[in-house]
Amino acid sequence: MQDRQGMKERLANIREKSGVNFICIRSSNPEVLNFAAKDSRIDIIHLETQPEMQAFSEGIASLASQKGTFIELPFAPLYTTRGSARSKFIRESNKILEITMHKQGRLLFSSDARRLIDIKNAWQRAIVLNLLLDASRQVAREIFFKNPMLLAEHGSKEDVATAGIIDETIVEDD
Amino acid sequence: MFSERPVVIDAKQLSQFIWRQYNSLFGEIKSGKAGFWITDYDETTQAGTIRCAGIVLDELVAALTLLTSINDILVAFDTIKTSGVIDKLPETDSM
Repeated sequence: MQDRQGMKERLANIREKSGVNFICIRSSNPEVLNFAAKDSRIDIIHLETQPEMQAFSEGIASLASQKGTFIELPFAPLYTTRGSARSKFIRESNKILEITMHKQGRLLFSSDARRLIDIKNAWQRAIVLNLLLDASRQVAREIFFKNPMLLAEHGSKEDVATAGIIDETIVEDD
Repeated sequence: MFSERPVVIDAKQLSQFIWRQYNSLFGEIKSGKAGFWITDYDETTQAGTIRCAGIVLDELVAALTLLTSINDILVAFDTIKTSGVIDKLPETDSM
């Protein structure tokens, strides 16, 4: 999402129109992220690319924490990237994790699985986070066990839930 | 070990892949100190047991989690059980 006004227009009655359980937003514009963090219609702020991760700040984390918005990072780059690309991702993720935990925000790590084989055991993922991103064991458990439960309880009473993703070009169901 | 199609590999070769992954993640100094070896591995079920020092358990699990391909075949490792006493492993119910 490139500008704040554009996002406001897309958000009008979006949940009813799209029939999804969660609304997730992606943007590399700090102003848009700031607006999304305080808008109760947004459930998740997803940060995946370097510009998106760099646009995240303490102010956004603080607002998201107050409004109960989840901050989501992808887990896949930890095993799909190698060398300096992985180091960069670890550094940016570590920064976001520290900021979010400092502001007592709610962090999620999406499995980002494209295939069945990409799905990893939550316990194993918690260990990876503990070792590679210096998250304490308690924080890692919250990220992989407690927060996904909170999100599921908050968004849907059914067994199956759908998420609508708003990004710079498209609105789609995932 | 889950894989898209059967991985034809013996315990020694598998151990080398795990070692390489561990080395790339934690570097030569840590991998020099970490001792682990595969005590049994069934090539049909692709299940086995790795023996390691308690202090490197988490690092080994992390290396296994991030190991995603062997001989260009996509794989995923699932840690079923861990135990401080290897003889008790079949009896252990949870991680």
